Amino acid sequence: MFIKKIVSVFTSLKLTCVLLAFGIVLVFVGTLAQVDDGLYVTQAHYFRQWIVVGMHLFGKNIPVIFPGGYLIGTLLLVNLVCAHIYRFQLTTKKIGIQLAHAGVILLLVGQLATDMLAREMQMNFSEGQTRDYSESATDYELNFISGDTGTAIPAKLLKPGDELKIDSLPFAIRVKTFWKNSDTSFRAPMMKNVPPLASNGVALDFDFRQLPDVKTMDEKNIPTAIIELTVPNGSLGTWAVSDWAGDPSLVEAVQNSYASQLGPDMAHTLASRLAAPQSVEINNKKITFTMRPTRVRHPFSLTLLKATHTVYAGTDIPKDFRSRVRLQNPQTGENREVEISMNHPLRYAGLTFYQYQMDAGQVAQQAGRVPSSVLSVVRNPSWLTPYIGCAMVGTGLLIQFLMHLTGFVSKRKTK
Amino acid sequence: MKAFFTCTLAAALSVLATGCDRDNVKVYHVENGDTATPAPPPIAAPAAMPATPPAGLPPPDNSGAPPLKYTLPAGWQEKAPGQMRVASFGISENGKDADVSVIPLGGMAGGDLANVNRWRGQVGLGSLADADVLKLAEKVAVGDQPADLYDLAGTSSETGGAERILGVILHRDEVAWFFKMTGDPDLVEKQKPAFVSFLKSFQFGGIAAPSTMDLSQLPPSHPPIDGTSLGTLNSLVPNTNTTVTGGTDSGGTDKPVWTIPDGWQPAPLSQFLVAKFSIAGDGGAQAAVNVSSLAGDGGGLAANVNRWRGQLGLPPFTEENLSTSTSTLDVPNGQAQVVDFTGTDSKTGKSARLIGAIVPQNGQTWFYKLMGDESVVAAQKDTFTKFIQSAKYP
Repeated sequence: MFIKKIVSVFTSLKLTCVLLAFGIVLVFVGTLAQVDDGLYVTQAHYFRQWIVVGMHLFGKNIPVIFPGGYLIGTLLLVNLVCAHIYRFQLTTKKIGIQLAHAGVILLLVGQLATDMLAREMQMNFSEGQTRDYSESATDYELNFISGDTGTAIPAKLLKPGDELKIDSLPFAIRVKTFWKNSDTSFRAPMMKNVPPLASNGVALDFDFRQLPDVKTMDEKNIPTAIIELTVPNGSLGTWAVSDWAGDPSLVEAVQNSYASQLGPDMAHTLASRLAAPQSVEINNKKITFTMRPTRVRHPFSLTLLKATHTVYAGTDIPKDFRSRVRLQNPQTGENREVEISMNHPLRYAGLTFYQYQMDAGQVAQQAGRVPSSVLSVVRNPSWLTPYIGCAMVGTGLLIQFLMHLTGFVSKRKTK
Repeated sequence: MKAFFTCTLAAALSVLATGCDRDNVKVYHVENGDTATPAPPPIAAPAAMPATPPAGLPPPDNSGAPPLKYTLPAGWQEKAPGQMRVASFGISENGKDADVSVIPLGGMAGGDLANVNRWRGQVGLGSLADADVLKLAEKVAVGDQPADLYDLAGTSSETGGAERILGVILHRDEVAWFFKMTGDPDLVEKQKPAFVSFLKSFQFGGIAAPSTMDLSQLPPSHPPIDGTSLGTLNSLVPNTNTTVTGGTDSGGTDKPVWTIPDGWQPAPLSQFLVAKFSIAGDGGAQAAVNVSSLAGDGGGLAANVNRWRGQLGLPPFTEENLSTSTSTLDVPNGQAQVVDFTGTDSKTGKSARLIGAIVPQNGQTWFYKLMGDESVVAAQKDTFTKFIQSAKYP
């Protein structure tokens, strides 16, 4: 009896309608919330959750508990599958409907797979530079390197007050502070009236302070953490680890920023201090560490040969962005030039490289910068599922419609 | 068919389970390129300065810059410029030490009073309100320009010992010059006359005024960087894409749109400015309009007004003078504070008039300055007002 009740609930059309209604509300609320909170925060709060606790709309916090995207999507999938398993018969007459529903199931599963498996990274390089990795635009890692072993700790695990013990590291990491977004300033002589944030390394020359999380897609957070490394015998000191120091393009931006007021030599000195490696030595082994965007290595490399940015004559309206790159894969022996431009991405090794941003042409030239390009690197194993799913739905509906039409025409002829 | 659906459900659930490994610690083999952040490549030096050889950490080298001129007091030892110093001296006497530094910094847009309070904090003194800080100032001269000296004594927050600071801030060409003597109170007391003489002998020579931070150097994928304190990367987002060709300025990503008056010629921007125009008058008379912006209140009304007064060689206003010397101007979405002075251009030594407007808008403060020959400024005053009022902010 109990099992029958469960089955009747999960196969119920009423459940489908309720879930669709929740889905409509969630999408509506998420669309409005995105205005203030930005895309990524809204996705994480409303859609990548099983339960939504609280909604933030029009500057007001609404205390409400609501099913999240994961719960609605999973229940819809279970509902659809269960209904088919227990209710419908596979007959010629229903083949179209079966195909259409299979297509909907594939769409749901495909989107679930996309959410779980898809990854969007970036590859940022100047002309002449080679990259065999791409970096996340939103995720960061605290990276330790000892000899030829690296240990990458996702920044999401750095919670203030926590102590992390990692098997591959000979010390524990006590997280004193973690700021998801931060700013930096050089500890100029007249600024040195407050103690440094940490007792070692970059904190002696640079201060960091917390900033509000970014809200728009054009900005990104720059995290900083204050950590203490401890061994059974005691402490190895406190350190400030920041993406300001771990991202070469940010270090270069700091250098260029100071150059205009301090001259190139002094700016280079300051930037070198920011980028100076931080390390501890244990048992004659040096372990360096840094906070940087999460990296994914590739078995191939891209070298930016030329970044081209053209505008329509007499205007500032961009006409064309294209990056000419050299693709080299030592495993396959490939060594060829490829052009990546708007609407013409490079698809290679399960990844798609889109032209995302660029600093080139007259703008870069006037500013004395080396032309550079940023590619968006997308891995989405389930990218075909929307196409296949929609094709199945369309075909199924067409089959069902044609069967009904044929039957109707036949009846009329008989009459 | 039932098997297909069951398998699909199982696959979905397994994807759900296996997809959640992004927040795990990863141990990996380090490739050749996976090293700590490399030191940034040296910047190609401008023509006036020698090229810096690429190296890991070359020592600062200001030898290519035109030398500062000053009379070195007896007992002062010159030290190699370091950090942000263009000149550095040490004084030692009977086991007591003092340090003298000269540091130019752009973009200070009225940070004087905040810096004085920072110096006070260095010697363990509490912060004072702006008006009280102004009362502490002693008038001195740096070269032929008036400046304020602040004499602060207390206990060093770093060493815990007695410490005294003589600090001087001079504004020149949109750069703030900080002259500071720090050390043992008795030694600093003894050296104070020498410090004042040193300041008086100081000549800036041919040093080009360094500009403030250029955020156009940010790579395109990086965000605007916020921050308003000294040395912090500012939230200016300069637009290097927009070419002002007269008529309406099409603005840029974060730049206002103005109606540009006839006769105003776009001039090359220094790196702090959002817009600059030169205006030619009769008989070779000239004036210029500068537009700049800072996040927040940009340092406050008093500080900025006194910065402008410094550019005309005028003494700073007190709080009382300030309130009676500013007028308001209606602008879209609010009001601007306007000042109007006449003095001597510290750069050219000629008589000049300055009309300045400070416009708060959406968390930013916009600074408009019309400065130059009195006849040109007088003729352009109304046009300047309309230009400010024509601004449509992002």
